[in-house]
Amino acid sequence: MQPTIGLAMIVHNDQDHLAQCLESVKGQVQEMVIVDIGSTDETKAIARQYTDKVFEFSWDDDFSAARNFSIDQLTTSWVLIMNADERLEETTSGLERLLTQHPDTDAFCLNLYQNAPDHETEDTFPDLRLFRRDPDYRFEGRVYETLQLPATAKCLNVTKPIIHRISTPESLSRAKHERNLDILQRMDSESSLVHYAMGLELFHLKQYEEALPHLQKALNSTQSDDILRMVLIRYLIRCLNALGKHAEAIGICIRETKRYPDYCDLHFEGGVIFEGKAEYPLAIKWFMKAVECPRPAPGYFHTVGTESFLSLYHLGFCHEMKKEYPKAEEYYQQAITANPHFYKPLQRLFLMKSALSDPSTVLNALFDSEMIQTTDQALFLGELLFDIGYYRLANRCLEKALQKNQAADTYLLQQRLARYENYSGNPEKALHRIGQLRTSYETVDPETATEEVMALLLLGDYPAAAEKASALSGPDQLAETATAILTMTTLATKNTLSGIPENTKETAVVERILSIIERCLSFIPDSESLSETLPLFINLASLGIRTLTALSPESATALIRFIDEKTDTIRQLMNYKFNLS
Amino acid sequence: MTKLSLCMIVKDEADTIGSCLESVRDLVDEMIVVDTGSIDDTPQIAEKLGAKVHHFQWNDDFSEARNYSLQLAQGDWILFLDADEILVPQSKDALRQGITDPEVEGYFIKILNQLDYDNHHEIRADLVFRLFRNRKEYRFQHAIHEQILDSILENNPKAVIRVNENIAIWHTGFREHRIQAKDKRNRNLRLLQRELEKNPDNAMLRYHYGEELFYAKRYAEAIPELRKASAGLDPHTHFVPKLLRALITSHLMLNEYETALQLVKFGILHLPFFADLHYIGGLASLGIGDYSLARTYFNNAINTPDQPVHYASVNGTHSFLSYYQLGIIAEELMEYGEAINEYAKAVRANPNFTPALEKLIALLNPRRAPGETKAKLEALLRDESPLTVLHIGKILFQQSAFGLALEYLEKASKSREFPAEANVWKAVCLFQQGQEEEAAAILRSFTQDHPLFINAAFEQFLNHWLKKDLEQVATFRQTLLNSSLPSDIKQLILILHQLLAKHLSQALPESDETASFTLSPSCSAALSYIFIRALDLSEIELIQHLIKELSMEQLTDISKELGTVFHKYGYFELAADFFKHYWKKHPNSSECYYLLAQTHEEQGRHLEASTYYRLALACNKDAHRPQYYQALIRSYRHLRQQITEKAAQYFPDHPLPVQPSKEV
Repeated sequence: MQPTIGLAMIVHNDQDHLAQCLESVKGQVQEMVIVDIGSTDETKAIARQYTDKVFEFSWDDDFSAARNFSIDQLTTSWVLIMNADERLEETTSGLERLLTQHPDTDAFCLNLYQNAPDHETEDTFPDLRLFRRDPDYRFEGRVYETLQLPATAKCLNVTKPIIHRISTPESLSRAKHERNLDILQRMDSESSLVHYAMGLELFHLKQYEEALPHLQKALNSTQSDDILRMVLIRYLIRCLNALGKHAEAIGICIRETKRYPDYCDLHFEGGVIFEGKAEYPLAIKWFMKAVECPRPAPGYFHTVGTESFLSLYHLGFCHEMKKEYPKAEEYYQQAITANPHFYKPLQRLFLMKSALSDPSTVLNALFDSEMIQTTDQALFLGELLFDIGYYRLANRCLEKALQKNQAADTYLLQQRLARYENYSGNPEKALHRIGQLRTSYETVDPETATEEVMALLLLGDYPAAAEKASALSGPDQLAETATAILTMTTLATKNTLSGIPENTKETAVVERILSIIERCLSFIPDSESLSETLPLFINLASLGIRTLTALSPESATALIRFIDEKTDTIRQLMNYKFNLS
Repeated sequence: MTKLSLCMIVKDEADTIGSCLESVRDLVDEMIVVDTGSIDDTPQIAEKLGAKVHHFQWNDDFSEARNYSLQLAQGDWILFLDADEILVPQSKDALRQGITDPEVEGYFIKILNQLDYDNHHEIRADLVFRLFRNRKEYRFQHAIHEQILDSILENNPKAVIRVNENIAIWHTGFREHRIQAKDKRNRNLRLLQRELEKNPDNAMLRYHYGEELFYAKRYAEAIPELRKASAGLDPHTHFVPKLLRALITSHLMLNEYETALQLVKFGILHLPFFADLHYIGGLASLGIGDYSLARTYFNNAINTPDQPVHYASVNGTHSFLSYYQLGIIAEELMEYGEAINEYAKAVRANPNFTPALEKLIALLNPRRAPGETKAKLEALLRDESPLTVLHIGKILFQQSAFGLALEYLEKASKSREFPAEANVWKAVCLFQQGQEEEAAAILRSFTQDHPLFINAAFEQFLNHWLKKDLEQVATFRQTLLNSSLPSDIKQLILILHQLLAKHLSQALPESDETASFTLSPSCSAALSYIFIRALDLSEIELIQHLIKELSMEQLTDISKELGTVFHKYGYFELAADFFKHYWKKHPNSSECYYLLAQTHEEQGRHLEASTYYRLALACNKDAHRPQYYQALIRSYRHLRQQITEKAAQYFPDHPLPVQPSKEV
C-alpha cells in the first residue's frame, strides 16, 4: 500500500509566517491538520485556505497534548511535524522518495537549520519530524515535547529535505521564550529534561547566570551520546564564555574533544574562547583543528561553517591581530571563497589591506583576484566604502560589478549608484540616473527621492530642491528631512529663516541638518576632481552651518557640540596613535 | 731610570706622523718606526725627527708587523701609538709616573676619537691598551685588531693591569678622506674574515668584525655577527657596551624599531646608566610613533651620570643630542615654549651644535619679531663669544631675517676671526635694510683675484636688478658671463636681464639671444634666493613677471619651495597657486594638503582649512604627524569660535557652550 503523509501543526497567532510554511509543504503531503490553540489574529483564516481540517484546541500549557491531538486527526500513514515559523526546503528528492528508499525505517530525523546566536550563521541539528502514524508513537512532555518511540523502532538521520526555521524579530522570540519559561517553572524541577529546557530558554533570554546551573545539572545527568548531550555541551560552553568563565569553558572543550575528536564545532568553540582572551597562537591551533575536521555527520548539533568559512574567518582574524598580514589575507580569501555570502571576512580583508596601502588599490585587487563573485558582495563593499567616506570608490565598486555581470542591474544597485554619485561630487549624474529610474519604475522610493533633493542641493539649485522637498511624503523621518532641507533652501534663497511647522520636532530637524553637514565634512575627493567637487560640499556644509547658527539658540548649541565632538574624536585619535597623555 | 720605547708601524702617513712623533719626542728614549711599504716620505720625516726607521714586508698581518717592532725595542716599557695619534701634552707627567710603579704590568689609557659629521664634529672617548712592560714573552696575537693583553695574562696570570685616564691621546684618524677610509675598511673586513675563519670562537674578533660591518653601513650583515659575538658573553666584558650600541643601532638603521626597543630594554637591565641606550631607545620610539615613550627615554638619557670611558659613549647622548630630540618632539606637538627651552638647553650644553641653534632661532620668528628674538636669545644662551655671535648671524641670514642678522654680523665683524664670506652676507643685509651704498662699498672691495669675487659680483648684479638699474645690471651681467659660473646659472642671469628690460619696457640690443631656462638644482637654489630677496623688499610685481616668463610648468619641481616662500611673506593666493600646481604632480602628498590648508587658515577660511587638514590626514597613512592632527583641531576650534560669535549676535541673551579649557 502506498504510504501517505500528513502534516500535523500547532499554531498560535502565526499569521505572518503560516502561509509561507504551508506553501513549502503543500506539495509534499496529502493531508493537513492545523490545530489552533487560541489565535486572536488571521491564523485560522489563512489555515482554512489550505485545508478544511482546522481545529481549535483548548490550551492547557501542554504541547504534547496538543501535538498528540493533531496526530489523531490525521488519516495518513505517516506524520510530518512542522511549526509555523518553519519552511520545508531542498525538496527535490521529496518526502515520498525517502519512504520508498527506506521502507524499513519507522522515523526520520530531518536537519533543522536555525539562527545561531552571535555567529551570523546557522545552527543545525537533527530533529525527529517524520514518522509512522502509530498509536504507540506519542509525544510526551508539556514543553520540549519529545516523541516516545518503542525500542524496536528504526530511526534514520537524513540530509534532505531540510527544515529551515526563519528568524523572527527579537520581541516575538522573547515572548515565546518567556512563555516557555513560564510553563517550565511550573513543572517538576528535578527532571533533567526540565533543566535542559530551562537552561536553553534562559540562555536565549540572555540570563546566563540563571541558565548556568540548569545546563550543568542537565549535563551531569545525561549519559548517552545523543543530540541532547551535544546541544547541552555547546550551550554550556557558550554560556560559560558569556559569563567570562573562560577556564571552565576551555575545560569542557578539552574534555569533550577527547570524546568526539572529529566534532569540529568543539574545536571552533575552543578557538573562539582563546580568541576572546587575545591568546591568538592557541586560538589558531584550535581553529586549524576545526578546519581539518570533515563536515560532521547529520547526527551532530552543528553550526554551519565551523568546518569551513567561520573557522577560516577566525584564522584570518587571529593572524591579523598578530600582524601576520599575508597569512591573514590568505585565510580571509579562503573564507570568502568558501561562502561569498558571509561578509565579515570581506570587510576585515578590505579594512586591513586599506590600512596597509590605500582603498583604491585594494578595491582593484579584490576584483582582479575574483574575490567579488556576487552582486551582494559588491553592494556590501559599496556600502562599506561609502560609510568610510570613499564615495568615488563606492561608485567604482558598483560599476565594476555591473561590468562583470549585467544581471546585477537591479533597482537597488541603481539606487545605490545614484547615492554614491551624489556624494562623489557628480550630482548631475545622480539626477540623470534617478530620472531614468522614475521612467522605468514610474516611481521611486522615499530614500531615492531624498537623494534627488540632495543632488539639487549640492548643485546649488535651491528653488528646485525646495520644490522637490515639499513633494516628499512618507514616514516622519522623511518629513523631518524635508523640513530640514526647506529651512536651508529658504535661507539660501530668501536670506530669512522659515519657522518649523508645528508637528515637526526641531531637534529632529537639527539632527538631519547635522547629518548632512557630517556627510559633507566626511567627503574624500579623488585627486583628479578635487577642485571641482570640493567646493560643492564646502558650500553645502557652509549653508548648513549658517542655518543652524541662526535658527535658534538650541540649534546653535547643537552645532557647537557637534564640532566639539569632532574635535574630541580627533584628539583621542592623535593621543592613541602617538601615545600622548 | 725607567726607559721608555715608542713602537709604531706606519705606511704612507706623511701628513700626520710629524705631529705624532713631536708629541712624545722628549718623553721617550727611543722611537722605533717600522715602515711596511710607504711610497711617500713617511720614513724620511720620521728619520729627520730622530726615529729609528726599519722596513718590514707587509703580509696582511698586523701582529707580525707589531711584534717585529717589539723585538727591536730596548726600553723597559713600551708605548704604542698610530701615526694619526698625538699624545695629549698634559699627560706627560702621568705617563712618567706610571712607568715607575713597580707593581703595574700595563695600562689602559684614554683615547679621544675625533669624528666629523655633516653638521658638527664630535669627540668620543674610549679606553685602549697601549702602555706595558717590555718582556719577550709578551707578543701580539691576531692578524687584525691585534691584542697583546691576552699574551700578558697568559704568561703572567698575576699581572696587575690598571686604567689610567690621566694619560690620553688624540686620534684624528677618522677625518681622513672618504675613499681612503673605504679602502681601509675593506682591508680590515678582509683581514677580519680571515682571522675569524681561524678563530671562529673568538668573541672579541667577531665583535670587531660586526662593528666594522656596522661602520661600513652593512647593517643586515652586522647584526648576526654582533649577536653571535654576544652569545654567552659576561656582561662586564669591556666591549659589551659598544657591541650593544652597534647592534641596536643596526636594527634602528633597518627601521626594525620593535626589535631595537626590545634590545634597548634588555641592555638597560645590565647597563642602566648607559646614555646611548636610552637615546637610541628614544629614536626607536619615535620610529613607531610613540611620543610618550620617546620622551621618557630621552629624559632618562639626560639623567644618566657622566659616562665611564669604556662605554665610548657618543658625545651628547646624555646632553645636547637628547635635549635636541626633546625639542623636536615638543615642536612636533606644537608645544613651542617647551621646544624653545629644550633647544636652548642643547645649545648651552654644546654651543657648536648648530642644528639646535638653527631650530631655536626659527621658532623665535626672527624675521617678524626681531626685538623679541634678540631678547630671548640673550636670556636663553648667555653666550657672547665671537664664534657664537657669528653662528647666530649666519643662521639669521640663512633664515632671511636680514635686519637682526645685520646686528649680529656687525658685532661679529669686530672680532678678528670674521671670515670673508660673512662680509658678503653683511653686505646683503645692509642692502635689504636700505643701506645700499655701504653694501656696494663692501662688495666692491672684493677684487678680481679674491676667491669670493664671483659671489660678490653676483650679489651686486642682484642688488641692481632689484633696484631696477638696467645699466648696472648689464655691466655685471657681462662680468658674470665671462666668469666660470656654470652655464645654467649664466642662462638664468641672461633671463633676469631680459626680463628687467621687458619690465621697464626698454629695448635690448639685437645681438642678445633669447635665453633658455632649465631648472637644475643650482638654479633652484638661486631662484629661491632671488624670490626671498625680492619679496623681502615687496617687489611683488617684478616677481610675478618673472614667474610668467619662466612659466609654472618649468617651475614644477620647486613649486612647493616657492609656494612656501610666498606663504612666508603673506602672499597666500600666490602660495596656493603654487601648492595646487605641486599637488597636481604629487596628488598623494599630505604635506601639500597641509600647506594648502594653511593658506586658507591664514585667510580665515576655517571650513576650507579644516577640510584640507582632514585630507592631509586621509591621504597618506605613513605621513601622519601629530602636527596634522593638532592643526585640524585648531581649525575646528577657530570654526567653533566663528559660530559662537555669530550665534551670540543672533541670540545675545542665551548662554552658549564654553570652549573646553585645553590649549588651542
